[in-house]
Amino acid sequence: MTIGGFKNHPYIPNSVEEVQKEMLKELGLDSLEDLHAEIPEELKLKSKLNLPEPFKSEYELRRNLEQTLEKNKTCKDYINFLGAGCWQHYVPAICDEINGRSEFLTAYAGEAYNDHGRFQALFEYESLVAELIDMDVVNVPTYDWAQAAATSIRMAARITNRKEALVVGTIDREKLLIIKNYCDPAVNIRLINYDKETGKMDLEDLKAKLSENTAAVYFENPSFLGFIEDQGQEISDMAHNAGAISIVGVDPSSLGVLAPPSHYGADIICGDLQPLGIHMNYGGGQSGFISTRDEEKFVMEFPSRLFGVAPTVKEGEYGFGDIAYDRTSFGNLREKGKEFVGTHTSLWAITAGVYLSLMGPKGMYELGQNIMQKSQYAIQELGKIKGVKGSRFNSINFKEFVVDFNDTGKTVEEINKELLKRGIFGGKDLSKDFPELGQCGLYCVTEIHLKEDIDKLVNSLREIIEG
Amino acid sequence: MKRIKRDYKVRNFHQAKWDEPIIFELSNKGERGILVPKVEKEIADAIGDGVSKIPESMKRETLPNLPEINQKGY
Repeated sequence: MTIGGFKNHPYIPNSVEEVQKEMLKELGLDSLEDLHAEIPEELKLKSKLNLPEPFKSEYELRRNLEQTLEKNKTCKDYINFLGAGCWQHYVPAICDEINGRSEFLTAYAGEAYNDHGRFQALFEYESLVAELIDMDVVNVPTYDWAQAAATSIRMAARITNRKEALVVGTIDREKLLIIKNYCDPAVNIRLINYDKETGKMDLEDLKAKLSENTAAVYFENPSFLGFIEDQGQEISDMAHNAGAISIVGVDPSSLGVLAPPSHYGADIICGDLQPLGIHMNYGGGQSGFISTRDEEKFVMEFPSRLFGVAPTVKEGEYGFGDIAYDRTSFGNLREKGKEFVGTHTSLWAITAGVYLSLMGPKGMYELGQNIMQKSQYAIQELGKIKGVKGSRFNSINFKEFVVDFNDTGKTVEEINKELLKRGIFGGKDLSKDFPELGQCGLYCVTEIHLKEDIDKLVNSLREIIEG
Repeated sequence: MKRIKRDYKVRNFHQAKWDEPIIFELSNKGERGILVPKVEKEIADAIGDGVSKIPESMKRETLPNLPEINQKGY
């Protein structure tokens, strides 16, 4: 028999029947089915899968795929104010150019035999992020921020030998589910209340919940709801006084203008690399980093690969390689490793490294300033619409902010439907995840928004709400 | 030209060798790799610099020590 489906499949080598026969003869087998002889009969699929007919050429496949994709409305077609963990930023052309190079695209996680500078690129990425957050050690990234936060919490639980983590009350509900799922059963997760006026952490509640069981306190800057948490040092101090570890999740695009968490007591910093030159894409554009000081008690709890630099036997040459490789599940420990590690999102690490090299210190500052100015302008203008509060919380925001529609008599869902008709993706509807806020939407404004985009949003909302 | 016989190898496999400086070593003060858009004058007039509203405890005091490089090379 031939390989199922197609004869001479273009992506499968040695698909000519004569070649297959020759190879089978060499193996002493009669048919391709004999290759699966050890699979028990009852597990073998006897009928065909219920799939549509295959496309018989690349052209037909592409034609059909493009027709299907045309049904989507993208952020190029519409103006987008959605963020909530995946943000629209400008991606410099060189980011795509470099991460599309086959040395990285196909070999980013291979072995030494196909290493064309990958270890150096990953070492440089780690060094660049370390400078941005002013910390020592940065890992090869995890799947996303939620994964990075969950692993940070598990690291803290192992370091302190405690079983409870206190998590900021304004956390993204999806991220919370991932953290709970990943930490179960090793760490119990409890939420800390937040102040209804400012959104910031309720320090009284934190004080009441801290105990000798607390492994870590986890909070974010800017918070999921966009405001800046300025009590970072107090929170870290309270955690440390209770013998717990301070973990801060951070949006790296804010760090040209905002103090990095290492300046207000964070022991472990995590976050997402997606704002750093990575396109928004469904299910794939996220990448989580974790960072600590260069202390053995922290370093040895990373499940991830860490790359370092050392001189080689040859004068004038740098060598790049794994640090404490045996600590990972790649090393000798395998399934007995502290946590699983895979190749994850290393390609995005290289992309983030390219982005940070391009931006430099001034670029990151200007990016942060641009976002602060634009989001403040949007909040101010939205607040002029009847019944709308531009920002629900009276704190200062970075990039995202909660727009309060409670006094408009309309739901966020109704408003967003109307915005869609006008070519605008409105902010994330918070009414289900944060019912205590009523009808509020989480809006995101970045450097990609022009004044005319923000004005169009404001005029459209005025039309929808005031009639 | 005659067709080359492929029953022997002309040269042995050799590993890729790299002798590249680290990206930080390419830094030249004042160089830019990409320019970030500035906000429109109307926004700057209405809002100001945007960053002075950051709470004191959350202002970054010194810029991150990232390299300053252009796209072309050195």
